[in-house]
Amino acid sequence: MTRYIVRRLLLLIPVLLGMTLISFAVTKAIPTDPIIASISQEASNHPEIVAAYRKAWGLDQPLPVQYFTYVWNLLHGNMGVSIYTHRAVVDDLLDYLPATVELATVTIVFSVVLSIPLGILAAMRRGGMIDFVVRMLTLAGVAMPIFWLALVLLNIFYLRLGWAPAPGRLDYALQPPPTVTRLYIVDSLIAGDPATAWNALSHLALPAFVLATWSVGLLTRMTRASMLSVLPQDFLRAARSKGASEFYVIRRHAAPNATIPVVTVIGLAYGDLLSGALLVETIFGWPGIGRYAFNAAVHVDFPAIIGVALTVGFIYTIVNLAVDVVYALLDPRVRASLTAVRA
Amino acid sequence: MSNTRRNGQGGLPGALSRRRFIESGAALATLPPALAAAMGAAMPAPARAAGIKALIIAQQPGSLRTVDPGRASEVDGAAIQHALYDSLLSLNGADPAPAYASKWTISPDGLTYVFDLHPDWKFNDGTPVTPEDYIFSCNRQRNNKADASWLLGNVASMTKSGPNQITVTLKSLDVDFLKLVPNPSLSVTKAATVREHGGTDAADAATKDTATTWLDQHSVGTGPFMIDHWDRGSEMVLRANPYYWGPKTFDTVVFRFVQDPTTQRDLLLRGDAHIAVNLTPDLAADLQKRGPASKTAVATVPALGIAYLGFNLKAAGPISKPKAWEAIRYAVDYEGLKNIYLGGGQPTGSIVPPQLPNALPVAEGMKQDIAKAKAALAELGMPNGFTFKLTYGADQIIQNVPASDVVQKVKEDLAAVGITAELIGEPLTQELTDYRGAKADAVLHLWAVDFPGWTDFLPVYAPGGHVALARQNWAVDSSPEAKEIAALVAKAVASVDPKAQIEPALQAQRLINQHGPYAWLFETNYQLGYRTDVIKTLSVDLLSFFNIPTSEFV
Repeated sequence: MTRYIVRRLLLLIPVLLGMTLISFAVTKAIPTDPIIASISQEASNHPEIVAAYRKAWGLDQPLPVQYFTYVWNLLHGNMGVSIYTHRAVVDDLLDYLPATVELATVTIVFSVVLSIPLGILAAMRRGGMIDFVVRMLTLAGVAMPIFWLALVLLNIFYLRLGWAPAPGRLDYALQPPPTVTRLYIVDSLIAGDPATAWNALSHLALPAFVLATWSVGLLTRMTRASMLSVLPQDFLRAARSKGASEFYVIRRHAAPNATIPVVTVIGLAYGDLLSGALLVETIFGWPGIGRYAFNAAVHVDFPAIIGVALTVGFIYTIVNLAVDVVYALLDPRVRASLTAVRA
Repeated sequence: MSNTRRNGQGGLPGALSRRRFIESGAALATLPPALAAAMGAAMPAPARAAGIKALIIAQQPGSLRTVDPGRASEVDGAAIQHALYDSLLSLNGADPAPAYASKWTISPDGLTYVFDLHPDWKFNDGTPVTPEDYIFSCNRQRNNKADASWLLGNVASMTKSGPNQITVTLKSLDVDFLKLVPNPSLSVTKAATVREHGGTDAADAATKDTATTWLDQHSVGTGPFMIDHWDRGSEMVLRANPYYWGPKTFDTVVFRFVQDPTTQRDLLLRGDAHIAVNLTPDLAADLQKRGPASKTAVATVPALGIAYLGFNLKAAGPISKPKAWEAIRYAVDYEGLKNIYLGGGQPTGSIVPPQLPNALPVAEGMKQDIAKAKAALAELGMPNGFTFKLTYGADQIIQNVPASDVVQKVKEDLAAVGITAELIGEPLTQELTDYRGAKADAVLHLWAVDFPGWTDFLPVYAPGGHVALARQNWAVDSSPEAKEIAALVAKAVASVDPKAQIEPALQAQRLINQHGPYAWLFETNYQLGYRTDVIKTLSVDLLSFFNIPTSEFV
């Protein structure tokens, strides 16, 4: 298992280098001048200002020089300076990524906690009212436009009812917790400030719910389908014949087998959430990576674009590696195949 | 100033059985807000400080990159910078007014300006402000070659001419120089502190100055507030400057960065924000419709931006011909455009916004005349119309008015006389690249104000001007009318006496309206929503759009 993990981690290096090349090539193929597009109207009329910017970002150099300079700097831990924000990309990512990680994590936890029991329940009551309601709701969750749902829920639960807190990560009256992880809930707890952690969690509830409509829909449907394929299996019949209760049969034998394929989907869904939820972030005033990535893309800000791509790609790969490890832990057959590969 | 606490309502409706509740599907819909409400009620969070007097402003993060006055140039940061720093002068409407300079004199040739400074002003650390600090700030700003470094491009020298006096000499006459000086980018910062954190005003400041990182989290100015912290993407919090020279207003000002205008409106209505900066025209109209009961009002501020159609003289096809421009100018329904921009705009006489000196009266602006449009098409030799490509920023918001709405209206108007505008919606950055590179045949574009003077507009769009030449290919020698317009503009900008500027400037605009490769659509407005239970009068000026120090509060 250790060798497998190390091999997967080593494979990350060419994958990430490939991502730099693709991202760089794509941004350079777009016929937009990142300097002209990001400086002010009057500054664009002053060649000395434009030239100073081009020099500062090395855009006066040939493309191969620009690329290899970027990679060389990257290998030395420098992701460059954003053309749009004029700040180190690392600093930008440290500012924007944690908000997205926090939102995505709460969303996926909420989704898993809700969708697996719902999927199991629906499968057990196949064809019944519960199954019908769950299927309809999950279908709606997958199909509903996220931005529409966000606007509607914000209007109802914040503006009209006043149940939900104002958009943003914290009440304005609260000081953000001392920075450790930049995840407000975690940092507040580290600082011994549960009230702020609670407040941060309450601010997460509505945007996380909106995002979860999609992931809950996906995971519930997946769990239900997987459960339906497991329920007729002989080993369950054998367990029942031994006198085990239905609850025990489902909890001990059916559910663990049914959730194995769901684990893979959880990893993919988490990766998708991390790559940014632009519309939800926009509507809920959430300072996440989605809007940063959007701004980077429209301004052809290649250091920022590559920075986001590398970071999200890295996290995505690590999450999926973790999923594969969990998969192996859950499924003895996968463990056996890994052992066979090692042999 | 309201810190809206959630009221603990909600929760699962106890009247329903669990089974029925789940089957109704209501659980999914009410779970998160119920959770949020329950959490808010269960553990009230401590405020930053009890009894704090705070002003909360919801605005888009927009293009706000830095609040270092030596490098900032973005409109989105103007109000913040105005709260942190002062320049030599401020603005009263479009006119210069005292700030760090209490009075000033101008030499008869208009080239030398002597500013007398307040001797008792202090920075927010309690140390006195000196002329050297201002000179350092300006030199740093000019030498770092950032966006706004052109502001001082015409300054030959800036020297301390007395214990509390600065003398500025220009290279050539600039009749609007005093309109440049209030720009937040020319604010006074404490030289010693900026130097201590990597700042320099040397000639190589473009590569050696490193103070911006520090100045984005701290401020050393004379404004009413100072930076507490800037959490990028979330908020910037300012706290009162104990050494401010003017009246105290709030302990704290919070700029909450909220991208979505609808969310800004909602924050305002709930009292969680006191000013909403980026209302679209329909949202502003919605607030006005709600009336005083909503405890909100809308302040409309001229943004001094001109939305226009621009045509390229080197484009292929008829769109490069003056008669085609004339037909388009007469075909556009300027009155009908009011239904598109609502309160987000107003008519303009020409390229100079109506609030500025030497602006052509709105009554002389372009008007729809279908018969004249058809006559121009006939003179063009295309009585049935023609087709051209009209490029616009598909994601562009023309100071809160969507460009896509404007361009659709224009397309419909032109179609009525047989002209077909093929709309090319590009990302704004692509449109900027194409237009600034003179690659677009025709564009819908916006010229936003750099300084509130007529020379920021007319000379730029007159033949041979920055925009006219580089984007429209409209050179001085391109036609007899172009030569005449250029001569009139040259005469106006060379006149020290403001009265002598008027007639040539007005006549130049009349001729541009008749012969230029433009159709001026409207002047843009900002519409700011504010809470009437907190703000009595929202003071606005033409550079920072709203001005905390001069506003009146309940």
